[in-house]
Amino acid sequence: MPDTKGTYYRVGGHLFLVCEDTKIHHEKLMPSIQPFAAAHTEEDPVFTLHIQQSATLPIPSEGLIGTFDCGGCLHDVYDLRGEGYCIVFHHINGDTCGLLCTDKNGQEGIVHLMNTPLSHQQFVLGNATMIAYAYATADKKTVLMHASVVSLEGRGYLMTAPSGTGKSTHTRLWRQCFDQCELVNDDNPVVRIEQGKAIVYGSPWSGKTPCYRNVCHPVGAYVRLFQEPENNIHPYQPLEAYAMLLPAMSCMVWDKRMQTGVSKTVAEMVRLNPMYRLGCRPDEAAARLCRDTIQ
Amino acid sequence: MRIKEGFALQELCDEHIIVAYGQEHIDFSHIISLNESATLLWKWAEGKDFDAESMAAVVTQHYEVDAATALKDVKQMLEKWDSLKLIDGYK
Repeated sequence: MPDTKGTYYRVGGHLFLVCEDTKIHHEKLMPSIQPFAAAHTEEDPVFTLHIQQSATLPIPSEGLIGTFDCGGCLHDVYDLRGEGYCIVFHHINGDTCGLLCTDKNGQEGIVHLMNTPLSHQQFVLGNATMIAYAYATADKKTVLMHASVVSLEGRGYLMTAPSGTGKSTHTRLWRQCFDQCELVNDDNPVVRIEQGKAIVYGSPWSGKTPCYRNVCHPVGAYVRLFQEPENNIHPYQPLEAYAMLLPAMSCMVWDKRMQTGVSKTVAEMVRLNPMYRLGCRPDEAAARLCRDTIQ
Repeated sequence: MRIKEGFALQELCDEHIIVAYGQEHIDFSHIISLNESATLLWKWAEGKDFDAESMAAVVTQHYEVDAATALKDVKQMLEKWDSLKLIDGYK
């Protein structure tokens, strides 16, 4: 075995361990994880990720479930005969640049990095840690949600919509309009149900915006954004809220443990906090209408 | 007939919905909501072989309805479940 070293991190309250051979420095490849460094306690980590440099990738010869588009980049997902998954990462330019293998419950994972440009290794590590985290915590009342989140007066407000709708624009308008309103995360916050409350946490994954804050707030509300010529806002019924929230979650829908875990967590989220439909223009009036309605 | 593998009943506030998992349902994008009596019948039918007659008997046990009406209603519901591809072996 090569020499290895390990570092503990805590995201969304869950402890995990990243190990690597001494040639790799994941903190340099993934600076966004540093605010989440944690002391080692007696507590068992929810998962351990081993990072290694590989000359060639152990891509399975069979078991391809499908190829999934994750923000313009393609991921091939293989089923390892029911014993876990292998996810092969392709850079946006098409290059194959790394893979993640997990066991069935997501407790152990291996990331293979290739000797590719630094930006490719950063891309692999960011995606691999995110998928490993979502998979390991899915049955622990925890979801990774595609949303832009702001905090205001002690509560977190999560804006969700497909990429390009204007989530980041809307949360920027909140920050312009309201004193002490802060960005918590701009792309992939964690939501976790704890003692009968939904709590939103910042995370090391924040899309194009470098906002990696180790903070958390009780959820105030969820908002699904639509671009419309006039600003308008309406509450959703539970079934509509569920249908709007579920697609915002990172989930391998074919995996029973993950899919049932995520859908139960989403049902709890719907029960605990309201969700609204906001048709909006990219203007401050939209932010004010939204805040005045949901706060 | 049987409920297909890969569907689970789940509570959502005061309602019940069916969620799908498994590779065969990878493109299943519906959320199916069940009313109170359909929920009762789904729970009864989960994991077993059944037919419309045995299901109708469950209805008459729980609701004040005659056997012929119960069977007609059950068949109508199973027709719907079949069209949504929730069950195997429906004739």
